Amino acid sequence: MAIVEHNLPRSAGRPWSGVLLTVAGRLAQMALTLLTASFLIFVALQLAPGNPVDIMLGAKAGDPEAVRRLNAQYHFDQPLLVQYGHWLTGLLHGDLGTSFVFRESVSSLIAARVPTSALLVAYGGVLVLVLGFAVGLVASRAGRTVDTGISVLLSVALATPTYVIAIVLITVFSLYLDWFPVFGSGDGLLGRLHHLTLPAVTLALSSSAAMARVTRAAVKDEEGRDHVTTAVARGLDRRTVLGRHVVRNALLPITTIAGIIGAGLIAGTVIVENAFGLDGVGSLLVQAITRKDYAVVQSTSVLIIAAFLLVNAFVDVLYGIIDPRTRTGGTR
Amino acid sequence: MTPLLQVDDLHLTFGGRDRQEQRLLHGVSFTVAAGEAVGIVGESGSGKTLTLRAITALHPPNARIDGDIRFDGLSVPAMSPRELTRLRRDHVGMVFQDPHAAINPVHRIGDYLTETYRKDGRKQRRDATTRALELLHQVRIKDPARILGCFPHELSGGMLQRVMIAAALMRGPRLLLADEPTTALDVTTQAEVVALIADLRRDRGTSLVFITHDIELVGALCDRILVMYRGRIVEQLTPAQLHGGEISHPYTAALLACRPDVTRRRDRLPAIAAGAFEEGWAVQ
Ligand SMILES: Nc1ncnc2c1ncn2[C@@H]1O[C@H](COP(=O)(O)OP(=O)(O)O)[C@@H](O)[C@H]1O
Ligand SMILES: [Mg+2]
Repeated sequence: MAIVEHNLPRSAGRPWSGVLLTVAGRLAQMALTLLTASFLIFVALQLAPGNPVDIMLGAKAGDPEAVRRLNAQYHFDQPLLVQYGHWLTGLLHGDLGTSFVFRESVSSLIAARVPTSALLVAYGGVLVLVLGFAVGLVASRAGRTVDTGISVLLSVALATPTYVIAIVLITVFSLYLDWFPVFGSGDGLLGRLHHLTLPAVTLALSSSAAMARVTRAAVKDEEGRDHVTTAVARGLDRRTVLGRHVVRNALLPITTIAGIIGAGLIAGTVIVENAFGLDGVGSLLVQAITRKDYAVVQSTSVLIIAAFLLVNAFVDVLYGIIDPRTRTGGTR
Repeated sequence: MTPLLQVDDLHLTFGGRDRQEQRLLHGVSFTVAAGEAVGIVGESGSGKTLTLRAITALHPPNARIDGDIRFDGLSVPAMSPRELTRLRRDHVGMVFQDPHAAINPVHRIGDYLTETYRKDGRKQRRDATTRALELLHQVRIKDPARILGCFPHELSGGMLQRVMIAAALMRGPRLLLADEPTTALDVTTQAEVVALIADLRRDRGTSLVFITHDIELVGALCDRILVMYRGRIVEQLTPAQLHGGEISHPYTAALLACRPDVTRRRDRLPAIAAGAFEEGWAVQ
């Protein structure tokens, strides 16, 4: 019993139930957002021009019997809300319907594509963190000439469209230098990473530039703060001042944009997967949209939105960890 | 005997080369003996903070310093970065005006207090925590053990200013530099913090340079008063001279008149015009 008491937090009970409440509230909020978004997507798809049944039937598009049969099979003949209800109950049972283009269940279709996209986003994210942060830090410490040079490069990286980056990288590193393959996914984790390197760089380049800018600005800003002067006045060495006071505090504004950068990476997969012919969720979405494969578009979009929400929730948790002022408390 | 601190003909200049030079300190000279408390008074913008920061070479990087500053006989401007770090860490403690701005909000009070011991051995670090508890107790903070685990934003300004005083004393400095340490606090807390500084430095025999724009406060706390005006020290006084009215510079008189008096309320504070006291008043 004594041990249990010792392990209790100082003001036992309250903070933990508080945390749980926050988490529960947060989850409920996310679920509500997803529900709303999925409904809006559903409605938007119905309003979109073009009839999926005609596309499915191809040459037999005029046949009323075939149209009736397909409409019944896909519930297209029922009211909108009922159709949405079908999709929602299916979702809760892990059944997202059938893709009429791929003649496969949507869930297995998506499941097969998630690893590539997840790996691509993770790879890109690591690149942004390492590259963007390092370049920003160097720029913040560098003299005028280097700082200006970096700033020009960052502007170029930010202004170049993703497709152009992809073409340049493929030309230089695949066709000319032959360091990386252009197409395919590769085998094993290393093989996959090798194949994903150029796409990940393409995906991460402009985000890294944004990250570098924010890092540079945050570090410069933090350097001028009173508490940094105090740290110097206390006789801390330069590295401690930089690490424990300047960079540590610069992480706050950096984390603030991490959510936006994460969302940008996820959205960017749609273009990058297409440019590099990767079988990911993003390219699946594009294929499904062009062929009016409603079931696939619906579930893929919702999955991507869920990923956005997840990244945001993660960033919020991270922010709470690195900024004690956002945590509750108060012993005035 | 050489004084602990000797500031000798200190000039501080911004700009130069292509830009217009701007001189903000004009030959500031004063000494602080071991165990002595010296107060510097002057209106805001008179150069008090620049003077104080120059003592440990904390002046802005774009400012140039001429003249000499000697701590315990050693020239501060001639010190290497390592020697400067050691001077700041081991010999000179500083207390700033706004504790919430001057203390990094992301670290716990305990980490802040013991931070200068991070590179030391295990035993020293443990001793540092013990010392931090002791000092928190001495700056009259209740429940020091709990405070060690708090973050700065969880403490009031007065509490946090005591913490900063404790932090400045962690390594037993010989000189304490306080830059308007009570200006950001409410009146009751101000009095407590001043009394605390007075007690602590008397007990330890620490020298003190105390900056304020409140001339009576300095009179109560310090052995000697320097009156600063537009980058110059225009008068040196003892508290006895101050209270006896033996004031020779009209700016000092104006400062005394300026003091908002709680008992005798004025409708207006007399304004001091820039340059009003410059004519005919040489330093000393
Ligand atoms: N970094 C700086 N660059 C330019 N001018 C400065 C800088 N710091 C202070 N000053 C100027 O120097 C003068 C004296 O400032 P300061 O020493 O802070 O005055 P005090 O502490 O007496 O109020 C002020 O006029 C202020 O504007
Ligand atoms: Mg000042």
